[in-house]
Amino acid sequence: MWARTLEVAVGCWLLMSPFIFAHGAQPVEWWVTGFVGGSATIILAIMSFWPPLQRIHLLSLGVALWLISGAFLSGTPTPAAVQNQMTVGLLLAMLTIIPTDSNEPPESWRRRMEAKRRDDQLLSE
Amino acid sequence: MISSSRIRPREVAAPPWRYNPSSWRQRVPICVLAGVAFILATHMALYQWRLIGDVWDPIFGVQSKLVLDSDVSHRMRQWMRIPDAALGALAYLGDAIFGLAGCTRRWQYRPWLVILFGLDVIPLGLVSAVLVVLQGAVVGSWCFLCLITAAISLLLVALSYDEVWSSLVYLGRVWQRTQSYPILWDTFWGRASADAERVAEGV
Repeated sequence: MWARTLEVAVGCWLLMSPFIFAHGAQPVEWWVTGFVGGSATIILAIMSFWPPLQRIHLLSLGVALWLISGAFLSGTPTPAAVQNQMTVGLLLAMLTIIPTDSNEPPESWRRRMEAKRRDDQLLSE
Repeated sequence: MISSSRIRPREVAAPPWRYNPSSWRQRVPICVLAGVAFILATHMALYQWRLIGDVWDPIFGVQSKLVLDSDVSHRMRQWMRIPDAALGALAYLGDAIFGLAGCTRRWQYRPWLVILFGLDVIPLGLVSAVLVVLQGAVVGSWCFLCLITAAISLLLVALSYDEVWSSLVYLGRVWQRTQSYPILWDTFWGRASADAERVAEGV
């Protein structure tokens, strides 16, 4: 769950980024990246708290790759806003691959252990 | 969903070791150390971004700045879009993130996570340590914090290889037992099977 919480924080940072790095004329893409990327990250992270959708946060990997590739496509020297995109993209990529239930064994192992525990109980009765 | 509070993975040794390399005792020190390296690398990145005007170096003094502003470093920055110290900081943060994720039997339950953690710590750590030393030799100046982070990288390798090895040994034994790619694949991604369970229990 903590990875999702951090993703929400990263999403908030993305939403704020266009204002923080607002120096001079900004291409409209930067605003789109900040707002669309940021809100998508937050929404997907929150949706993952609902168990049937607990893997939906993996879609944020798309946001991360978009941020990273956008930074690579921009020319050098890289503006601060684009460096921010690159940094946030890499951080987001690392967070999104952490499973929501990472503190527990994966579901199929949990089911297996539960079944075994039930068998043991039956045997002891 | 199955309630999780009743099912706790047992604290057992992971072959080939006599201890459990996925236990918090083993993992928390790695994460703390990676956190320290993250802070040091961030300090250098802030200098490279010129968000701070000076970099701390009690031994080599201004040489730190020469290293952080060297041509090698500028070229890296052009390739990667962000300063090399920022990349290093992210890698150390990744060590901590991947170190904290997963339960205390993750060598069995999530080999992919342990191996990803291993890839972040071991090859990346070794390469960055070599790069730091090379940079000192090429640029002709030394940077105290770079050397400290390089030393931490090597220490992290020493502290974390055991868990990665456990996962690899486990996957290897699953392969030996089943000779089946689908089962090996499932085991790698943390999907349970009777064979994987027997291997993990050492039966």
